[in-house]
Amino acid sequence: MYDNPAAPAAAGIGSGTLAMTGAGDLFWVALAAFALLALGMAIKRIVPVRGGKS
Amino acid sequence: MITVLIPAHNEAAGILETLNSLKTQTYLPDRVIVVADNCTDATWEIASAAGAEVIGTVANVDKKAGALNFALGGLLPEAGPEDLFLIQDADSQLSRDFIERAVSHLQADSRLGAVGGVFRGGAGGGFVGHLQRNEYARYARDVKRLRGKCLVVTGTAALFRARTLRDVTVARLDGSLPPGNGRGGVYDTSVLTEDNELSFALLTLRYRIKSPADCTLVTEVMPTWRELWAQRLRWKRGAVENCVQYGWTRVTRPYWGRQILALVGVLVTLAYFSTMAIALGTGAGLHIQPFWLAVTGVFVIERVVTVRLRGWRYMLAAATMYELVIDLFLQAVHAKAYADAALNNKKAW
Repeated sequence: MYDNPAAPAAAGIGSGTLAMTGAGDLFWVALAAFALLALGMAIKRIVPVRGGKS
Repeated sequence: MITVLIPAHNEAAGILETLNSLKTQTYLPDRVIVVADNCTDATWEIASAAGAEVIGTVANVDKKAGALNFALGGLLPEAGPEDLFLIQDADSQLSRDFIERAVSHLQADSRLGAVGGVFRGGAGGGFVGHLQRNEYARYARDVKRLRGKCLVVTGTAALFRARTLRDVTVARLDGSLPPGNGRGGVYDTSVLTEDNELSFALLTLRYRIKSPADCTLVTEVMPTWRELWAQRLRWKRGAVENCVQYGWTRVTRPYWGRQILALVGVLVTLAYFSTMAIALGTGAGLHIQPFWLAVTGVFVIERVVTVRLRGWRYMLAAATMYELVIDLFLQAVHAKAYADAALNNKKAW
């Protein structure tokens, strides 16, 4: 009900590294793409909104 | 005329506090009715002694949704179109001006179908309770930033007009909404998350829903990981099944989008940890890269900033990312919920 996709993304990707395991560039790019999507959502949640106090 | 309906199944521990929060409202309800559903404890006696009307369900096997349908079935036909029903959980305490503010929001917009609340987690539960209180604080911040726009009017507390609920009844009977219990009951007794389904129903009937930041309440947190697992599994599977139930519509598109994103999140997490394990297992090692370290830094800032409603101590603690515990836990819940829904495993709650 209270889904926040940024939080699970942080759980998955938030340890400072994306492991390169030889699984293939496409796989790595897909992981990185999702990380960047989650990054965008995280920034959106950080930035103050107009008229908001938090 | 405002009638409060409180479905209660063995709620002796918290019902008095809930009823007391209604007695101190700045806008007092006309009737407070506790719907005792198969209670084997002292809920009935406590509620009655506290001055509430108490009615008991008869042969109800449909839990909360069935209890509410039972009560509304008796009350709705007698109600005027602009009469109001506040439906709230027995373990939730409203802020003193909740009803006053919710009524003013409803009166300001004739197409507002329901006004819900923004809740804080109650005390207790140790570490898992603490994590839920942080989570609820973040949710409250989100709703506030969206000026009350919400995905679901949750069952913790919601105010409706009688005419709105009647519209739902009519639509269930004429087939423009899922049939629910098949007898025109407001709540769908066939689903796990009846509040989510009712939100879909209202939106489908072109009503708006809102959880304004000034309508606040306190709700119970799950005291153990086991209970949190059961609660969230029910919420998640219910939400997925509500999407399937309504299909791909103008209303459900954003909900489908969130489900797809969450599903991809589960797969990415799994893939990520698998690659870490393989990298460590094969001796390839992990390479810390400055760019991804910076990305992680943003996630840390997000955790810190979004828990601001809890105060600076909690913000400071959030910087350690210790809440990854619950993030990973919820990822596991989501994975189980998606698997259960896909495999149509037995529902039990």
